[in-house]
Amino acid sequence: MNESLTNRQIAFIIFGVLIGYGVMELPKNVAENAGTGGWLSLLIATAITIIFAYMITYLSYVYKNKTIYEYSERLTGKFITHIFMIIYIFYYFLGFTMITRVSCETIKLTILLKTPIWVLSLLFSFVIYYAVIKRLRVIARVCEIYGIFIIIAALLIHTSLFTQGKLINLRPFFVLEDLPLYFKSTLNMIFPFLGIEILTIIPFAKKNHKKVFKYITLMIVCISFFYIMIVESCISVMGVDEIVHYNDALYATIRRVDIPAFQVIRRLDGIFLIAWIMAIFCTITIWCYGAIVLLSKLFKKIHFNLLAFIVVFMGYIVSQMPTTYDQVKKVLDYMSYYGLVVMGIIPTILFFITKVKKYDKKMQ
Amino acid sequence: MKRKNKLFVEKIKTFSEGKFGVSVRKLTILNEEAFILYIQELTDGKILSDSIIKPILQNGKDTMLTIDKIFSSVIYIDDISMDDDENKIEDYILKGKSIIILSNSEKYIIANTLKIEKRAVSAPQVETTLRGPRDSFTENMDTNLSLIRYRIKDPSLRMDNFVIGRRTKTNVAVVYIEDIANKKHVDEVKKRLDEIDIDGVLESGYIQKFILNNTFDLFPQAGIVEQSDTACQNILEGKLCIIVEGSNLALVVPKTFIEFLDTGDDHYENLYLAIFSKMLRFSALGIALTLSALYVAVVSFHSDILPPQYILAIATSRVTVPFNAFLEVIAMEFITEVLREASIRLPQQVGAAISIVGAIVIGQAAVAAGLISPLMVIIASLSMMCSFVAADYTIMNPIRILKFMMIFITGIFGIFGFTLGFTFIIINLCSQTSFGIPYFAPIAPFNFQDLKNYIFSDVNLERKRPKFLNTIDKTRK
Amino acid sequence: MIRKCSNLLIIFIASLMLTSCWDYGDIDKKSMTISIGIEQIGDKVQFSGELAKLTPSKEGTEKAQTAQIYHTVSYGKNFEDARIHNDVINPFPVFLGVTRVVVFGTNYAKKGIEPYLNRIGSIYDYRKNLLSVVSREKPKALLNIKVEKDISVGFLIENMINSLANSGKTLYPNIGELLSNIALGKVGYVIPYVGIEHDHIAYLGFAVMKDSKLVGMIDLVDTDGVLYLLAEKPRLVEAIPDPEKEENIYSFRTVIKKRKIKTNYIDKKVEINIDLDLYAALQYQYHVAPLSDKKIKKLEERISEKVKEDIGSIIKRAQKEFQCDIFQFARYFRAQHPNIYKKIKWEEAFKDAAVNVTVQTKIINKNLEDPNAKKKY
Repeated sequence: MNESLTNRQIAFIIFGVLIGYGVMELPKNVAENAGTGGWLSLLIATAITIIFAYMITYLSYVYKNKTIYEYSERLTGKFITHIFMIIYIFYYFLGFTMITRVSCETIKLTILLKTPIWVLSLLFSFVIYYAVIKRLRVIARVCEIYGIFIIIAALLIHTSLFTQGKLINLRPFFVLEDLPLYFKSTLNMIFPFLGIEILTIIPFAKKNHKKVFKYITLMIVCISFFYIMIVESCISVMGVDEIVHYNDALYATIRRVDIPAFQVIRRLDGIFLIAWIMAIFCTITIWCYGAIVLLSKLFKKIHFNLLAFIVVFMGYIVSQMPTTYDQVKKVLDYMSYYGLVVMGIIPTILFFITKVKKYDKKMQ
Repeated sequence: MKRKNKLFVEKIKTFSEGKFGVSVRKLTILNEEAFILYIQELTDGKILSDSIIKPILQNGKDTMLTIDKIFSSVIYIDDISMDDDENKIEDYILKGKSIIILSNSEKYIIANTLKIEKRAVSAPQVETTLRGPRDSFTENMDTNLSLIRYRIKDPSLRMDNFVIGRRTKTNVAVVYIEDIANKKHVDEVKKRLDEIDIDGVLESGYIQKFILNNTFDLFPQAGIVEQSDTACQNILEGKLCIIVEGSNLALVVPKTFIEFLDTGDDHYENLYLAIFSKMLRFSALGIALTLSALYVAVVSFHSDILPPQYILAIATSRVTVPFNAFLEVIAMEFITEVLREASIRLPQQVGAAISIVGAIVIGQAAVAAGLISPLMVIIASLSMMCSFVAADYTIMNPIRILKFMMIFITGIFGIFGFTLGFTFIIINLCSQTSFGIPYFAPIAPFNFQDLKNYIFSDVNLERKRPKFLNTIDKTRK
Repeated sequence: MIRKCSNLLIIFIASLMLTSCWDYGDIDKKSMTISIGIEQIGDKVQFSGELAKLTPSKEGTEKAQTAQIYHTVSYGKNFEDARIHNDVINPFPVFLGVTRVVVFGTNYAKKGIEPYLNRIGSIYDYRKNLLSVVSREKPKALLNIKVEKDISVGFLIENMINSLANSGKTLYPNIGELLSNIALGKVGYVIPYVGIEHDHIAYLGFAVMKDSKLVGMIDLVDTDGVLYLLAEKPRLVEAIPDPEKEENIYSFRTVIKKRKIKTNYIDKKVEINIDLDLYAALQYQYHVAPLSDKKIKKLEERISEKVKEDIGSIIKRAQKEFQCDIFQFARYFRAQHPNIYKKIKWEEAFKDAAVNVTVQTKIINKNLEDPNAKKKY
């Protein structure tokens, strides 16, 4: 099946997978770990992420029309590949379930106070299943449309947040003595960038020539600016001391402002909620697709749709298992470290094997 | 008497019995007998008597007539041919031809004396515009083809004919320009048309259903076109126009979602007006789909996303209403849909009456009785009006149905349900294809040039044909 | 097989969902609270509410009427208790999305308003951008006043403060801002102070809050200094007597062109330098008199002096009388000296801080009047 994407779509898939649940608590995490100088940590994290992204993109670029399963098998043999695959599948699966759960928890705590979690998850699962069985191209198109919508909505919201905020809250921009702190907190700042490993399952076509590197780097830089915009606008409104108390820092900030000039939409909640649900939908769908597509490489005999149904259904069950919000948060915290393995270590290994064995020359 | 003649005579005998509705006219001329077979209802009597019977009789008085002589120098009819297969006689007669058989000849003449009740070319009924030619397609296929032919005088304009329907034997023509249209699309359309096996085709809608991908797709993938200039514009763009005999609506394939919101006016009028009306139509489409659902979300779930004055105003307007907002919306939307349906079915003379009744009953009485809030009336009528903006009304039909889905899901989950319902529709739109072309092109997959051309709709700026069509000739200028 | 199962599942779930709209609640079936008053009565908390009464329009008129108002009062040991007593007297669940203003009674403000601010900050129902004011009278009495100028007391106070704040004559601190001041710690803040004057609700000045407790008032006439420091775009009027002829008064409208606050830490002492650049526009003179360039210079100096005095006196008051940093200079100090800020105790340091105010004024226009016009005859 032809699943080739345009460069633009690949970039927007990255946007879709990165901008998701994370933005809700991003301002809090940044403020907590690095204070007002958090933008610097974010920039350092971006630089690191770009290095990883480059390696993953390079792998996909060298092995045209192949996903990690195929080229890993070629590089490391069947046994290790299977271990890798299990790591990846478990990672994607866990990510899919836990993000679903934590999003539903947040929705329940903020807008639908009485609706049970299982119903919210169920509706989510339905739409995700519907998206996943339409395969990557359709998901990419949805990401493309929603990405644009989210960017426009975010620009509107955050520029208006800046008008309500105070510049003094953002200062000091940079404290020389805190430099070690900024570097230390970089580790925490990488978590919002977890998700670029999705590139490993996107087969690149012939038409994705060298420009794809440019697109992906540009997109990661854009996302980094997007993050900085969110963090700074929230801190400018809330102040760095207060924002650390809110797990839903972004939403709390948005509920705090009221822009008279906008009349009907002077309260920005409505736009924000729609954009945010769209964003988490993109994230969850892509994670779920990642798990399914790798599984389908292992079990070639089972029909894709059936596999998708099994994964979504299992995911639904697993997402109901944690009993409290804190448990979910804990799992997500562990997952962040897990993510470093998946995003950093495994692609790095494969990258170096490719370089050492000079596969990249042979493939061209 | 020769062997063939016997068969002919037998045919004539069976026809003479009158079971088939075939008239047999027997002429006696100098040396032999001639038979003319035709169906009275399908035949133009004047042509038959003036151009066939009269010359034969006059010439037959004093000269020997052979079948070849009649064919070449006696009959005045332009469309004429010869055949010797006795089994085809029936087919020819049913198609409205007249058959001339001589008693001692092995061949027969087929003369076209077909007379069709047709209406004159008139102004469009379904696809009305302000600016643009008024000559729309009629039910007559020749007229339709001639309308296209006289607009596009290109030697490479192709009109491939098909006969579809085991019993109706309907003529279907696929019109395209050979050196523009994508070969893949042409072959695919022809293949799908060839595969159709059905007893009858009555309207282009039948063909549309056959050549589409999936019966269960929500949105139409083939556009309908009534205006001949729009059809030509599409053909020039590299699309295929399918014209069906007996249908005044031609089909255009492939067609993407946003093209349904394009009208001929946009291309003829000023650039800014084109941009403005495109935006207008898009927002109208959005309003038709979401306004009622948003009303439910705001009134029943997230009232605090509105400023206080608005909330108070809405609440005050709803005080007397006994239903909850969800039921109110459903009821109101249902009523407007009924009104719409009724106004289509009703004869024109009573059409005005229904609008008065509708306006009074819904607008005045329901509000005065406190059954419906005034705001709801505004919303329902607005979303109703918005569903008429597209030039090709078929795109609005799924929107009208999906509107109810949106209301339901919003009624259960508020803005969360709203967003997911909307996502569902977007996924569906993105997953559809029209002859291999992504239905949502050029928005996703995005193509700036195409989108710009689409929005500007200006001949001056439109140098290239849409990229997604992948035409052979890519440039327009 | 699976297809059939999934069909069944869909039917089952659809019916389940249709039978239960969990969060569904029509807006007209909610008690819309427009303003809330909180007061301490003995050892009990008193909630007084002002709620919208939704009345159907009179027969024959199809116009929707503006909302009317009814009042509720409830008491309790704590907020939860009082809220329960509030809930049991209302026909519908209380809806706080339209709340415009929170009125704190003086007694309650003296005890500390932080608990209630935290309640607003964390409970989903409340908007976080509502206005809070301190009332001289008991909130119950204030809310019960019959207003003719607006829909209700809540709307009246909110519109009043809002329009004053827009023209730079007062501050509009919403709950969110107060919460971030509380989170900053070590600083105080001011909130508008209202009361009943001659049977009308009037804005009286600022209530000064230290540790979220009411410690004093700033009268309306003394608020200029606060506004020059805190308001976003103060547009104040200064009446300056003629330097030569005392009975002639020049009325100026001043606008801040630049406000720069620089802090320093010298010899273990905080130094706050406030640099103000003002633009002044002459509105009119009481008696028209010629204006020479020299005179303009002098007037500029007078304005500067006046503003400097306003600011200086209010800061002095904050240091001595209220003993807290109501201007949130701490933010500036932290921004400029983050490391020193960590070490010192700002509350103490502020009291002894040296404050230098410099004001520069420029008269930019004379309202299209020419007082120097020559007379022919």
